[in-house]
Amino acid sequence: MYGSRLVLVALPALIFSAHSPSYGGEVAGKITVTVAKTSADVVVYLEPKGDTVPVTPPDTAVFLNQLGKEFIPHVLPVVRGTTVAFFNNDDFLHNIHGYRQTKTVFNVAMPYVGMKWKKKFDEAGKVTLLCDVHPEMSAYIIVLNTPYFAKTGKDGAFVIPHVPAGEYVLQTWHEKGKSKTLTITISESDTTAVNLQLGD
Amino acid sequence: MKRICSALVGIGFVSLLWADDGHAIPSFARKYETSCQTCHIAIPKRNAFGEAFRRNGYVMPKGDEQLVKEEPVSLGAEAWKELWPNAIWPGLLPAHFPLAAYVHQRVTYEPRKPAGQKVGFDMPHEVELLFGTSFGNELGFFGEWIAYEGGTNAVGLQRFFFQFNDVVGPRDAINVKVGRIEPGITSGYMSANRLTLDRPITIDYRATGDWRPRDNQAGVELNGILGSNFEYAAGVVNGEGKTTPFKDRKDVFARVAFKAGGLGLDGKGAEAELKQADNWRDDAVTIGVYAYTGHFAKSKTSTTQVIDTAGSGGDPTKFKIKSVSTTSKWDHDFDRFGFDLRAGYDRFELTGGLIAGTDENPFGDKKELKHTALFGEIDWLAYPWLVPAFRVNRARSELKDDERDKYWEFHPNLTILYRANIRMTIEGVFRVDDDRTIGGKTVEPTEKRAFRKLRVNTMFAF
Repeated sequence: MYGSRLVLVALPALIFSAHSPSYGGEVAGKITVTVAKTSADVVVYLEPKGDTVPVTPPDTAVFLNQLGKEFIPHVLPVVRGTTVAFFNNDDFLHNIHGYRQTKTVFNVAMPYVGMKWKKKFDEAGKVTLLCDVHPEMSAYIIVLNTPYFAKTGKDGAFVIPHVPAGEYVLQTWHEKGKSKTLTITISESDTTAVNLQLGD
Repeated sequence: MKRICSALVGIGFVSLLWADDGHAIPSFARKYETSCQTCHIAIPKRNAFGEAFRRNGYVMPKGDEQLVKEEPVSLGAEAWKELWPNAIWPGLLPAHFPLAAYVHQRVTYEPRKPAGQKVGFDMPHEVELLFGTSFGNELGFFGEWIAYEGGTNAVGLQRFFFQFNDVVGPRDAINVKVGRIEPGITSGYMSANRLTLDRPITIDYRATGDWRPRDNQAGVELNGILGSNFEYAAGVVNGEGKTTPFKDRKDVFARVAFKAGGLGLDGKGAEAELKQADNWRDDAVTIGVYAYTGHFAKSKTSTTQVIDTAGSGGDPTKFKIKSVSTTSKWDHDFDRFGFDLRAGYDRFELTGGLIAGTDENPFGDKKELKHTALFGEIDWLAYPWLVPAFRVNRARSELKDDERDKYWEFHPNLTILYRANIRMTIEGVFRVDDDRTIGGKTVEPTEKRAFRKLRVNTMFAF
């Protein structure tokens, strides 16, 4: 019963995604990371060449958990102005020590399970999160000035849909792989393929 | 004789029959979940990829990230690097203590021994513990401990060193090896990088009975690869080997080598994934030249008997005989120069080399010893599990006008891989001593029988 409902709900979405986007073009491809175990967690984002694009942060906070001595997700791309809600889901002490480069921007103790703390990120750039109690834990919040972004899966695949036609600068960010930048032209209703390799 | 040889071969095969599949494999194989053949033609002889792995400080040439299967323990997230020097640089700890073992079972036939004592069961001949791994891409270590050895060689710690990779500059350009090392002059054919039971004479020859190139010594070595084809190593070692860590005059060495064709010295050209097929092949020529200069603070104690007349009152019947020891000390400098060659084509590999040297005053009589040792070896990979090899050694040394060593050695060898981690070796040793000139006279060799030894050895790695 639930299965057939799921099919009915999912089917239009599949048909929709199998066709060209309803407006704008899309950028799709694969980023292969040679210096990490998988090609996951590459942030790919587009900014209009020589221009800026307005960003609208989501109405609700996005979540970042501390669970099993890991930050989940490990990489969280958000648009400028987004509020991130942090949760400690472990039954022991963590903290969230946020850095911009080497400068501490916040350091919050998360001493008990279920503890929640919110923070709005208004400035673009990378925020590194560490837990001083468990040095093996880390995460990155990538605050972007553009709504056109995606994060790769383990196989490196990504799709950025609904991008208005025009000339864009595509950039990548990865924890270990060197960033790459290239200029691409996106046509209305077309898919622009981008395949890159990130090494050291 | 024929019956004895047949018996030895038979015993060797019987020793293989009880050996089932290796249930455990050495530490690198476990870490990467790959066969010995990824890095070895036949353990312990490495293929070109294995050599690149060794040069890279026991880190895969393209980095370990995608190839390590045993997830290491993080000693700090990657992000801590950004905070250095206000944080500890992050590292990795291997998932398990990286320990492996080699065990040799050996049967030896020596025709020159007295009747009734010609066949020796040397089982185990050697039990050796090996440990090695890397802590991320920047640091690797390797150690070798002989726990038991039936022969006369030293038992105990042989090697133990750390290699810091890519210390400064481009990748692979500058690495630093610290610890108890085999000096890099043997990098062309290191002690453990061989099919045969005996080593090539150029790394094994003790011209004066003490120092030899392959001896492990405490020291520091700078090594690296430039442009995939050029390799260098230079270092300072304690000299005199094991007993005198506090010694102001250290030995120094250097080697440079160039490789044309085949897999790059840094592993460039190999796919990131591990290949299993034909990775024994490396159509390439590598030539190296090296030099070593060293010093010994030598001493010799001689005992003479003298007549002690004290208290005798001149009465000869009351004279006593007493022993008097005198110790003479002298400095002894020596140097070595040599080259090494490795050329592979299809299933054949030719290795060779020469080492020449001068020992200024090895015996305290101010007589200079000049010597040359050279070898040539051909290996043929008939099948990946069957590799015949043949080596010729030549040694000559002359102490002023007296010839000391002057002989040829021949080592026919057959290597059979029963499994990737179980190797059987059948090896003969033949030696022909030449007439020597001593004190202006020609002296014939005391031993004229060429056949010296036949050994059947089974090596297990796990």
